[in-house]
Amino acid sequence: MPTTQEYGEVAGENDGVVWLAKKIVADKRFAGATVMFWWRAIYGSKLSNKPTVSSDSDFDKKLSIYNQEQQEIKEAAAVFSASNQNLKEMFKYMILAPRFRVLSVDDSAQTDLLEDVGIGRLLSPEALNNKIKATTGYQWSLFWDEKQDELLRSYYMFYGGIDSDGVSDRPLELNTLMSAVVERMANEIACPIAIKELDTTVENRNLFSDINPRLEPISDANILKIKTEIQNLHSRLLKEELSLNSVELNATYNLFYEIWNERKNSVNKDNYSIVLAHDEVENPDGKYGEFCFYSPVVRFDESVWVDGVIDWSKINNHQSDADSPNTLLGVFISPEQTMRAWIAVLTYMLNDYRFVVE
Amino acid sequence: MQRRDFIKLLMSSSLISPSLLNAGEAFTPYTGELFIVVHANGGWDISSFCDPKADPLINNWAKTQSIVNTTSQIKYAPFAKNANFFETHHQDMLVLNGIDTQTNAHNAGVRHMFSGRFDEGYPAFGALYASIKAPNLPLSYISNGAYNYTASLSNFTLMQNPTSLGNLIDTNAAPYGSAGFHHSAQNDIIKKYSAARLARAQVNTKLSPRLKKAVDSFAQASQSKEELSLLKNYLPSAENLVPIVDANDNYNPLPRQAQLTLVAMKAGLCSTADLRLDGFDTHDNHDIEHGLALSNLSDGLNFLWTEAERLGISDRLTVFVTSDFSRTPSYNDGKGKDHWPSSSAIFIKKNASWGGKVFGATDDNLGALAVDQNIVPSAGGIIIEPRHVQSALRSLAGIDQHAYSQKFNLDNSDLDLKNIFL
Repeated sequence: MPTTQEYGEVAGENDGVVWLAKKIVADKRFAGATVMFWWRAIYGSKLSNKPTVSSDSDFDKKLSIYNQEQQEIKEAAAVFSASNQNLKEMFKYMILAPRFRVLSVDDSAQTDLLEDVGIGRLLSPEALNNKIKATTGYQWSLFWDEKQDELLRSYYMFYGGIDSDGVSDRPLELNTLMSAVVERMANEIACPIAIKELDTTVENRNLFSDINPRLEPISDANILKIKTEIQNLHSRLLKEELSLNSVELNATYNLFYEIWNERKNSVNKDNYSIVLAHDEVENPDGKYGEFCFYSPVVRFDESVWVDGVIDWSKINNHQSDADSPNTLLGVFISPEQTMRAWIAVLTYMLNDYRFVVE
Repeated sequence: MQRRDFIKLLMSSSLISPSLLNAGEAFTPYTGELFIVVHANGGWDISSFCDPKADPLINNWAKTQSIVNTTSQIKYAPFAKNANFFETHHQDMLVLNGIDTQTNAHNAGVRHMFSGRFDEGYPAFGALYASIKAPNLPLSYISNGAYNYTASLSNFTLMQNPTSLGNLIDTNAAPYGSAGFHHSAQNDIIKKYSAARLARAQVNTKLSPRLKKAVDSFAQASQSKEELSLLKNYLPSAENLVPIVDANDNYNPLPRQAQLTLVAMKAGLCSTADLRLDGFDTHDNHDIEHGLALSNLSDGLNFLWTEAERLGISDRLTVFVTSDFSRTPSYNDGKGKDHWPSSSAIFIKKNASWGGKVFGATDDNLGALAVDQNIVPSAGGIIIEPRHVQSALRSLAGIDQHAYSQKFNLDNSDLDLKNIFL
């Protein structure tokens, strides 16, 4: 090692850090170390340490996994070196590798060696929070405190967050409370997403395509359009490319239909509404209304309530009147009962194992 | 909708998987023995706690004070709030001194003391106990950030603000008003379809092992969500939450950790937990900083037992307290104490036949002394190691012969500590 002084090499550049960096990247071990540095971020699993206790019942398995990982490190490091240490090339190689992409296996696969391979990594609260925003265009927050992400505040530790002090290891599998967080998220945000998306023009949508939200499943043409939209949602939210006749797509359609049918044929159908939250006011129609975390631009005057029941004659569907001083609650009316069917579909997909893993 | 009704709905859909069928059985709240592991994180000073050394070079308090004897075998240092703790619990506690952790490194010390093995790969006691005694409880193993490696035997659950916890007990309840996010019947329809989709995924043999594991854990977690409602009866209101600072505004999260853990245990949803208290790694200003940490530990443990008594579960509870390792038998230039491998462990159980006893010992310089088969110091004996301690804990919990314990076997053939509990 060359002689150094406080601010750099005696006869070299006047910067010890630059000198050190040059020495590090010139070392033949740098490429492998780079792969190892990025391994967990890309593959979502820790690199194995070489097993040392040969009497362990799973020693052979651990050794096989370790050897396989070391081989893949060598291969990725070779790509990194051959590309003149271009990190992008290394990333490309790692992401295209089976370890990153594998979704299914055939019967001959040694499954016990593939436990941490491929799609299925549980997302951290931060990653899931970003995924919600990226896929739906909606932020899970309280509408009176929109700057705060609920997943990173109210439910952070419940969902496996870390404080890098007392808690520094994340759960690798979903537990009951984490599952409840996902269900809570789906219940809270499905409605505002659906209304925000479907109560606007097609070009302003982020998640849905061109479906008309008033379309009822009452003709072959309508059913095809609804199924095509469900196909789009499976692709967008769950990364599932389904055919229109697939079991999963038909199951989701059946959910849509059952909710729509239940509401359409309910004796309460004329009083069904979606109550849009606004201020801290009690919902005057808890019997039929459904709560929706949506900062309402859709409002009406409280005089429409008569003896605890909506007087529909006083409502001309929904109105946009943000400046009205007398508005207490917003109500969204979907006479075709299709809006809640779409909300049910979104709830179903957001509360799904495929949504919380990558 | 209760889980039984939910399962009936699934059965009618003909899409139920065998594992969900088992979930249709009525849930029985856990009423077995409870274990809490308390981690004094950073390396505690046993010479100022349960293995007192009245040497002024080791402890400043020894210049003016002496070791305190209780009416049992337990002795303690006249330091911090030790008197309050030891005088309250000495008849219910067993102190094991002279444990050689074989390391001065935090990670290795924690892993060794709390799994029983120096190498990686062995589960925390809580993970092992929960997987054997109560594998299907929704919160079977609660962790507050101590060593919680599960070896895939079980999940651990992290706890947070109980106000948010209320929203997870009923995920369909809106924050105000009487409406839910979905009408109840329609919420059940959505759940039925979700469960059916999970059931289809569970029998899909083509899924990669990792995705299959995700499906299984999602299904298992979903099944036991309904039982969280049992927490409603015991969850403290905001005004009844124990503060996380003491009367002098010093941060002490241990009582809050204990409170939420005990609530889950009282509800029959939790069988074991780890609690964690920081502040013991006192390389500087040891007497003040460590005095505060040990005071917090005493306050936390006192609260834990008082609350367990109030909830009526103290007779089912065993508490195991230890640390990464201990601290040097001398002060450094910064008036601190550095890492030292000898350590201790404390077991506490109300009215235990083994209460009030001390086993194992260190020499005058805090070196672990070998013991014979009666755990009495003996020159030709065996040095107590973490594997012996964890073996004893497993034995006390009645899980040492289980297949999972055998899979993660701890060799104690040279020294079996289980007789200390006779």
